[in-house]
Amino acid sequence: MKGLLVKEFYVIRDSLLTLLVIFIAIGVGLAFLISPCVLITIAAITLSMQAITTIQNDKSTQWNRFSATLPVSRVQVVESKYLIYLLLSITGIALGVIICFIASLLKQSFDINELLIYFCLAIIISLLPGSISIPCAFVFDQEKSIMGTVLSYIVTSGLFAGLIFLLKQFMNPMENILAICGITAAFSVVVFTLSWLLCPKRLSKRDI
Amino acid sequence: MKENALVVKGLKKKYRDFTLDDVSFNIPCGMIVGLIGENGAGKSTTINAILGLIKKDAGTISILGKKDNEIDNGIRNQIGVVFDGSNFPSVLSARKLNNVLKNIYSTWDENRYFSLLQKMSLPTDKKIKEFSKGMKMKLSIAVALSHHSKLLILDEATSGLDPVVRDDILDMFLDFVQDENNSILVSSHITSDLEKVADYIVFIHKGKVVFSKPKDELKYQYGIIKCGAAQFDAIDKEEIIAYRKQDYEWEVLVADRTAAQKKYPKAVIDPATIDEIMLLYVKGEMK
Repeated sequence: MKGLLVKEFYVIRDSLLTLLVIFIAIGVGLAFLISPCVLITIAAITLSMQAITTIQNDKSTQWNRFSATLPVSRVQVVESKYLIYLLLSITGIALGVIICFIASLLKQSFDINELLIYFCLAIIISLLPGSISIPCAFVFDQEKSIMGTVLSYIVTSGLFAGLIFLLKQFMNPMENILAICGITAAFSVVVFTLSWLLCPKRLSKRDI
Repeated sequence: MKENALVVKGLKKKYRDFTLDDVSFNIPCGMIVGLIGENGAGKSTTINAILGLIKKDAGTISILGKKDNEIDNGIRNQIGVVFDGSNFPSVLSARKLNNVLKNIYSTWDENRYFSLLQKMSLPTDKKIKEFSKGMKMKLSIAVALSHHSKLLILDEATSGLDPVVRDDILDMFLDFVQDENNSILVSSHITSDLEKVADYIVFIHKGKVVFSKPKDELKYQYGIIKCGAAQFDAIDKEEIIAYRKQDYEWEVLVADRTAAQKKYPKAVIDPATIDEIMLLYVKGEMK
């Protein structure tokens, strides 16, 4: 497993400059328009998506075939993608929190409530789509996998909207937005964990 | 009798438009076995099934004495695999690849890897995406030889390479089997390469093994009778393996050209190359 993670580290490190440009291009504008805390979600998405990109890269370079012949189980190969996805999400969230904190201090407008909401949103928007897009990237070719990723964000938005609609019956969503985000974030962690537990075994049995 | 490094028995895999049907062959230790056949004949499917990349429908595969359900990391450490083209992430360099693979293969030999890179004149710090096709192939072979493999499995490893690089690679294969515990399965449609190095030839056509024979038997015993219609009619049909009619003559493949020469002294009987044998099986008619 360590070797697989070292490989992912090298591949992702190679695209860091591009990621930084994307992060600055999208993040700076939105940070001014909405809130510096939005950087937490952007950093989480930008970094975690790299794990999906590595799955497609593995296919185009035939590493997926080669790795299946290595002295590591195919379950471990799939699990390494879940692990790298999680690590990148955590790194993205941590980086986002630090940058958000610095930006808020500079703007002298720090709001802990807002930071927590975006923190939860970052968990939702990275883990929930990841639980769908990782298996999609293994099963489908590049084109369909991109559709799977888009679909995973649509499903995430739908679930979030559905949950707000459901909770509306019991509470005022705007007054309890942090609680709603917290519940959805916890739900995302559960779904991602279930995907991690259930998919690797099934995916490892597929023909390459 | 020599032990077998690989035993494939009754291998079946069915796709919608192709079936690998009852494929069986062995690789004795210390031997190079060439898997030949036209494109789409089933060579890669066979190799994929051996490597466990696809699920077989039936049959058994034993690698280095272990059946397929017993193949563990210990056995995988001893199998070197080379696929056509590049096998590695293109953003890595040969040095970074070393850092990856030394954490995967428990038998990884860093010194051997770097000495092979030097021997093959491969740069250590250049990204793989900047390598030529020949360099990528050499790198794959360097990797396959750097973890003390006992069995090399190569799928079209020499295709698309220039004759000089191909010759270098074939020399490496011959070096590898100097140790009688080492064996190679190499699939190729460049039969001239296999004629140089293979000990046995397994010919697959339309998903079936047509023959699995020692190369020398094919080279020194098989022959092609080139004759006219009258002489063709006179040939005992039992002796014909395959034949085809060319513009002005018949080409007839026989298994024993010395016996055929004695029996038909006036006939012109040439030694058959593996290419010609394959062509007659594929494009000719069977008796």
